[in-house]
Amino acid sequence: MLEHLIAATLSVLRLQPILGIILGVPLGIIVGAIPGLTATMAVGLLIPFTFGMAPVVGFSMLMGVYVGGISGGFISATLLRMPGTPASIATCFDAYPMASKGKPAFALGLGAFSSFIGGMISAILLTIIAPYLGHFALAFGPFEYFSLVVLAMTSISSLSLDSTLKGLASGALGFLLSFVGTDPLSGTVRFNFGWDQLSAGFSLLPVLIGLFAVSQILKDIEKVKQRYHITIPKSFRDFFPDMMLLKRSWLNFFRSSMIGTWIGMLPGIGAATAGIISYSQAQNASEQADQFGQGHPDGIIAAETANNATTGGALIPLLTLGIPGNAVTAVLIGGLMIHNLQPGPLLFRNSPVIAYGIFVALILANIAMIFWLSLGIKLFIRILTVPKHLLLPILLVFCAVGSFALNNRIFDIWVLIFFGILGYIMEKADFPIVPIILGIILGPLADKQLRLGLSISNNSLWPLFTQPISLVCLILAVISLLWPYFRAESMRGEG
Amino acid sequence: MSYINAERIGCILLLALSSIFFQKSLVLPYKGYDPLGAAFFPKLITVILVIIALFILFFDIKKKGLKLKPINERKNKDKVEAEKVDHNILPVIFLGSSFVLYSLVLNYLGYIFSTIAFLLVTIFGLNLTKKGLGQAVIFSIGTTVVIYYIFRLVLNLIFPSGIF
Repeated sequence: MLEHLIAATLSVLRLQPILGIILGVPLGIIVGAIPGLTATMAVGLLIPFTFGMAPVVGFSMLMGVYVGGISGGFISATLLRMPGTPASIATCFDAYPMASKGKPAFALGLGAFSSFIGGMISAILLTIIAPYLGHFALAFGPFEYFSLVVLAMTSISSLSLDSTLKGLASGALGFLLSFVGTDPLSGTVRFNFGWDQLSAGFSLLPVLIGLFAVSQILKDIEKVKQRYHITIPKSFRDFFPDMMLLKRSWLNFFRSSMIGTWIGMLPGIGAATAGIISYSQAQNASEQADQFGQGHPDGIIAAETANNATTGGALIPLLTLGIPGNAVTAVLIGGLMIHNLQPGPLLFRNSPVIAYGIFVALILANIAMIFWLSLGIKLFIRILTVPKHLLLPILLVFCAVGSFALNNRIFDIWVLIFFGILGYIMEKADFPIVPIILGIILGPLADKQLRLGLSISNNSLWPLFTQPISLVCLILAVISLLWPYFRAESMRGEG
Repeated sequence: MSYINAERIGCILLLALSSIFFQKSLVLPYKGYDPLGAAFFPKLITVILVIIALFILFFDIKKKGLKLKPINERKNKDKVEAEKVDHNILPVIFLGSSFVLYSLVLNYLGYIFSTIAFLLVTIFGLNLTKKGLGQAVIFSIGTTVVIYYIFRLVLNLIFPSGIF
């Protein structure tokens, strides 16, 4: 392995592949930061351009765009509560409150640094254990997926500490709305209310942008004369986390990287869920759980570390088994195949230098990502100096164009408006928005996997408790559910 | 004088939505090979949602009573005055309805005309000054062209072209 790794490093550490990475990352960041344009789109757009390049240059550039695309979403999520990609949804929870308290540069700096750590740890894990870990992804059957959803859903209680009942109502509403569209098992169209456009369900991005960005724009316009309060940083020290914060947060970084890499490996779950699970675990572990959602650094660390850690995680089943873990890696397969590279077990046997070269390119892409983000922070935060009467209508146009661009249909703009108004009303009625997102993302997974599992097991629920991975997820779910109450009790006892 | 209680309105909306989804789930076909059927989860969730909404409603009525008091009797008068200054619903209605109108005409007028019109009206409407008009003209045309350039010409994405 070592000789292949050295040869791969030498093949990537040349001018052209490095230039490919250096140019690919900012392209990905820009596309990722614009709501409606996703990392998948960025990779897809670049693939035809890599056709004429040498394989090593082509995949280096693709890795750059991939990492940049996943990372870029946090810029708009932090500054405008507008998730550029679904991956950065959990970043909105704390990064936006921190930015709106006048510290956008620190929120961006912490997000960039966390993305870097998450990306690097997962890339290193990918390099060391990918050949041995690929089969773990296949051990996940329907019951394991369902238990994982149960684990993710327990975060509702921690994400809505102020009112668990309202959090549960919001989560249930998200579940209900997620059932709109064609049922994947029976093919029955559910709750489309006569609209053909709803037969495929709601597109996720207009839903997320509507609930978070449009509702926030409507809230912000209430105080149209008031300016955003920001502090312009003087040096890098002002926006990067200090040693004390890093020392205090090492466990959060590590846990979030592991969660991100693990979730990234599992096909069909995605970086958004990784960010949410990691966020709720960080909140459960924190002694300042009540300050999450108000601009707590640990919330940003958890969300951004985990969503970037999925980049390496998703490459594990892709490169070792030829199975894409998410939409971006599905497109990446195409990018590799046009260079006559067939992802799967044979890749390591037939082209080990290329396989390990992808790992090295991923590591370098993470370094390039933090370099570009650090350069851009002072520029990005200038957006908040624009008066609201100019900024907010322009942002609405971006929301509309981004939603339209996904499927080229006006209907998605109506979805955006519906969820924007829903989010605005929910915030006015003090219903938390985050659980509804969880419901919308996880509802279809829970529905499909449990029914699939029951069909396989002759209607028996026992495999939920007898299969080790499923059991571990359920035990973690119970701990996650009860932990905040135990901690509150013990703190009351100490007090 | 306002008697609005957003919490109760929210619960009533949730109850109405649950009833619609429950009723719709009753007519979903059952296929023999699927142990739970396409209607199981929707039915389960609507029942849960109804129970939760009733609980929230019950606790709210228990806390505030059945008959709501006007907002200015419930809150500190100074706080209400401050809210009047800080939170203004008019710009929300103006921007929201302009956006709905924009979405309605986008398919007919095409991206360029409708976006310039939307930005011109909203930017100027939110800042009714002489300087505001100049800003509105510059930013509406500039933004429309920049977005068109990035999305249409660089990224090759399709925009609504309109009927003209």
